[in-house]
Amino acid sequence: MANVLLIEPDRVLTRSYRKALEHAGYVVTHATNAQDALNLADVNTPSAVILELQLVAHDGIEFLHEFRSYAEWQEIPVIVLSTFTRGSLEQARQTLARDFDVMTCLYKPRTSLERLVRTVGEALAA
Amino acid sequence: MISRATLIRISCPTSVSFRSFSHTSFLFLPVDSGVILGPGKGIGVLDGGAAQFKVKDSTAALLRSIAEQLTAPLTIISREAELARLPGMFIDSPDADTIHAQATAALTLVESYLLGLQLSEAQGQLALEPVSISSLLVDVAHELQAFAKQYSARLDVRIAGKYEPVMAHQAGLRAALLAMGYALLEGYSRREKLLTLAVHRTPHGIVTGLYGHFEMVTSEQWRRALQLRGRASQSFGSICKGSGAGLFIAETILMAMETRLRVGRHQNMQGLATTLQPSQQLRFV
Repeated sequence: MANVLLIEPDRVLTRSYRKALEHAGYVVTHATNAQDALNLADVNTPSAVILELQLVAHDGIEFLHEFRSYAEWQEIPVIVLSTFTRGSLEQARQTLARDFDVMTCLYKPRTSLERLVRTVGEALAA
Repeated sequence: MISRATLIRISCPTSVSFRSFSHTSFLFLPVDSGVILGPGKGIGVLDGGAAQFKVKDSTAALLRSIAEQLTAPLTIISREAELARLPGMFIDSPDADTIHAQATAALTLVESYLLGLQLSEAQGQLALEPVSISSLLVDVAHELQAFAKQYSARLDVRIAGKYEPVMAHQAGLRAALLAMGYALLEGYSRREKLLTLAVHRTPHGIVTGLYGHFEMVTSEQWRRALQLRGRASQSFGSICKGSGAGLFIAETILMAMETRLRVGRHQNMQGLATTLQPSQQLRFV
């Protein structure tokens, strides 16, 4: 089963995402911050990463910079799922794709569980 | 209109070790601020391009902060409701406790803001009254309980000794403490969270606030966050993953009472607190 690393600081929201992803057949590991996410990835390489950019302490960009600096993690698809305003995400999309090979940027408030699960499926199929 | 987002590399020397953060950090640009901020990092100024949206005054900045903050509980409610509708998901109904706690937090944020607005308009003519701080802290802790449970956090109330009533606007002070509580509870990601509502006496007055057993925020970070209110998506990168609107609302309310929110310490804890003056009248009773 594919292992999805969910980096989401809100524990309550995480419950919904985890249930939906596990219902779809994925194994979900969760981290609330960037450092824990790196530690988890180190123990068990994820098949895909779902990343909120607004994290406490080190932010999502710092995570991406660190994550992509390791050869074994460079091909892992990353889906940004963030509460940054839709306009900010749209403007950052190309840069994140170019500099960090981010597959897609989703605006969290308007991304349904169904769409998230579908996007993860597309990421793993690619 | 800014045509592209800018990622600016800023050197931030830290210890370099395997699978930890290296010495270089990127800051993510909020598209419409002209100012960038990374948690704990310096502030840089975007050069080139016109801002899509400029925050003209503190009211608009606070409104923007609140609007961003409200997306959090509303997103949770929406996803929770959706969960029950996923095909094949064996859940009869959404988690009512979650929806109620999040809705209450969102409504409290809005109510606190409106009260802050009202009190600000009356600043200088605000009718203060003697308020029992001990009773108020217990009341606030009780109200925050359901939300704290959502985030696996514990609340503690420390009232050592007896305190005379403080001069304050009761509803305003209550709203300020609630707004702070919701913001701090929702923002922390540490596994073990204990948030303490406490009061103690100083030569300057009676200090009350919310504290934790870890570094919450420094005076410098608080000062910077106030500057960036409404202009950065994460004004409190160290403690709040969102905009921290509740803390700004608390500040607005307290300013109407001619006091401020400051970084403070209580025993071995650090937090955000305010100083209130004891009632002189009741002192002589």
